[in-house]
Amino acid sequence: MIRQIIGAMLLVAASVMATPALAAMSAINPAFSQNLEGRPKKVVLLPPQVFVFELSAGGVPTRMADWEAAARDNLTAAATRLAQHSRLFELVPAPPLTPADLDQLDAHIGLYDRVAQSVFVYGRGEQGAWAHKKHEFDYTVGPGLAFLREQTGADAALIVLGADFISSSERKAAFVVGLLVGVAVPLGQSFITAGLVDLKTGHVQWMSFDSSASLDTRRPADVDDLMRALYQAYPGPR
Amino acid sequence: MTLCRSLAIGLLIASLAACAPWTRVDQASRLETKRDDYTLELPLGWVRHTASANDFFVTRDGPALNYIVVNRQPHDKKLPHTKRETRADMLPHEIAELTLAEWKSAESTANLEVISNAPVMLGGRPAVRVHVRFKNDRGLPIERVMVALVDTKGRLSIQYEAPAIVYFQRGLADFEAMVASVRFR
Amino acid sequence: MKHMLTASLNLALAAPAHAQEVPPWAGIDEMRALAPAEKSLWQEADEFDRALARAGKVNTDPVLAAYLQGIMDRLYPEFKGRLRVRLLNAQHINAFALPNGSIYVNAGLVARFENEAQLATVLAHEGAHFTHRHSLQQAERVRNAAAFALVVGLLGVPLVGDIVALSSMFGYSRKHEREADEIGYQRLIAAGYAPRETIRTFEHLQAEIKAADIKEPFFFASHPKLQERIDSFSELVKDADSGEVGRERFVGTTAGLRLASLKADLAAYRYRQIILILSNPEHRREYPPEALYYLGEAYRLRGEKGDDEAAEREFNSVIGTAPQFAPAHRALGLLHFKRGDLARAAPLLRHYLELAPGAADRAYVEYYLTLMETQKPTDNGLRTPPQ
Repeated sequence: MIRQIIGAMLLVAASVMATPALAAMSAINPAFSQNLEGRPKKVVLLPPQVFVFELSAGGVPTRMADWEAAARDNLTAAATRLAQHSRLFELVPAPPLTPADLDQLDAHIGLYDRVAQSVFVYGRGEQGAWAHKKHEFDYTVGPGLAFLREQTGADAALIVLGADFISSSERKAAFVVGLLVGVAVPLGQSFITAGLVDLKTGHVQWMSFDSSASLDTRRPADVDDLMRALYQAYPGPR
Repeated sequence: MTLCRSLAIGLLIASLAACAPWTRVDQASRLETKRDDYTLELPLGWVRHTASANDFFVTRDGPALNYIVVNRQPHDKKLPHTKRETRADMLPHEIAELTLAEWKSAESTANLEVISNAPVMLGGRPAVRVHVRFKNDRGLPIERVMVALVDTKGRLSIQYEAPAIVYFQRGLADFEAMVASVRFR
Repeated sequence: MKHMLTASLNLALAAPAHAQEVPPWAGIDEMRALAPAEKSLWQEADEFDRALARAGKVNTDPVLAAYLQGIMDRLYPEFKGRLRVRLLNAQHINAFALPNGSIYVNAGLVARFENEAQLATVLAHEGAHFTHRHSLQQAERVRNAAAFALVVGLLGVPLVGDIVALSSMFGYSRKHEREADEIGYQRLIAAGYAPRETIRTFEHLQAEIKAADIKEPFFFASHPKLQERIDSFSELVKDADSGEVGRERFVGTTAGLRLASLKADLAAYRYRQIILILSNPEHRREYPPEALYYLGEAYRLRGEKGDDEAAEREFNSVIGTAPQFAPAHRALGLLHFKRGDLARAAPLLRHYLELAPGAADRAYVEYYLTLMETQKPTDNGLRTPPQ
């Protein structure tokens, strides 16, 4: 029985996940969209944290160091270039940090991680009992990142987090054979989120989420498409 | 990795949102009576998980950012980590000692730091209030406070937990008010 | 046709990508250019190192750190700088090796031993898991196991996970454990430690498992049976020369750690372990007199027939030998309070507060003293709610 339930859940998950990029998934702080003049001019990009795995034939993920480095470089380049091209803001790299500042940053990224999942599931106000979050949006990481403002002159921080599960060729072969015999063999999937946090208050201004079965964060063109989709929901004129 | 795991779960939750067992606490629904045992007032504006196995489970911003859980546990039900049972004649410091032992036996909270631990009153009865802090593997400090008592019916506990940055303070007054609202019938 | 396709699916999912044996490391120079699979494992291990440090689980005492590292460097001199030992603030009897050469040993495990040779036995074993690259081979095994799980119809394919967690879950194979035992034993002899102590190491752990009714923890998961190992080591040491035991150095360096370990065990209700250690006279003499307070508290928590009296005996013994040790006064006072003997309880609790004016549980003790003052001496204070 449990096996059937797990199977059914995986099929539901697979069908949900098999959709292409879901750029429509976003959340915007109403105070931010009501004051477009106050949008940040200069934003510091915190080093993107994207875990990249290879999915083996059996579905076991293996972290791939080289792939993660490529994904990080692609995300940094695409986020910077597209922000400039769309005249969203000037994106500057994070400064070198002391061990104490790094600890502080780690703790806040740890909090942002929880904030991002909470915003995704509840804060977007998609469920009836959570509808109020759309206009009572007060997600924040607090003022603890203000030291980045002092060091860079930036008004806000752009945080990019996520995971990318890339199917091995054996996994892809298993998927094809699985289709023919009616066995669900889920393929790789990516979950990426980008968001803007005010460096003075810590308030989350905007967040976008993307999930895709076809994205490969190792490919610069894919990551360009991803960042374009994520920036799409950024409020205000281009 | 918390995020990607959560997003995977989140996608599943989003797909099942139609039957999501949540309801927002308003003035009309905040006063709750449990089993001819006790009454309390849930915090206004928080969101209640109506399918919870606990007596009450409420959160303001999502369970990862703050939650209050109320539990009534019979004495003969063993606690999960220490495998101990409670007894109606436990002294307050023994309840606190067992609460801490239970948390210290769990991997994620084994290195907790006790911020305060003192006898208090709950609904006019002697109880304990234990407040601790620990870090998760991302280096995020988290605070947890529990008010608990034992009586002939078992152990009643009200626990509040939230990240120490911003969120713990944000929900603390609501938690204190909820604890103060407990009345035994 | 469908059967053929199903068979080919099974084959595709179960086929191991790299099933060959991996040669052990000969030295540090070889590790400069890692193959991608191993590089990924090391990177993940590096992150696991950081996560443990961030969560405050790593003991930062420099004397203990230097002591453990010194033993490891003596066992594996050619891997100095790569095999890094860290002490974890954790009580479960456990030690483990990560693919990048990080070796973790729990404070609770160190506290169970009597001498340096016993500690070295565990470090030598864990070091061998690294030098013989068992994690890399294990990673393949985990992949194969997961592929097998899918083939046999368990659809719970792990979409998210990490190799470190999975390795722990699956455990090293018995073959790897035997190899680590053998290599570790050779290293122990080469470093000049007493080979006979290997048997004692496993005897301690066996006693602990029996006493605490532990489900085999990581260190033992899928290891050859402890009795089997004790037997095979007994055979090996028959003709071995004697070597260094290192009792005094171990006892001196770990005195604080062992006492802190008793305190941590008590706080987490691991009272059976405390009784196991301190009811052994050989162990007991390595502890200061106040350690018997922990034994008394352990008896109180166990609560079997006669334990109440045993606890009272130990508390009285500590008050006799270490009268300034405040917790014994508190424990004895509370024991009398529970019995309803308020005349004995009150002075002990008052004296406790005099000895420890800043006690963390002062509020509780003052609350009980207030209760006692408002009751007749024959009343049992515990059932009366405060006003």
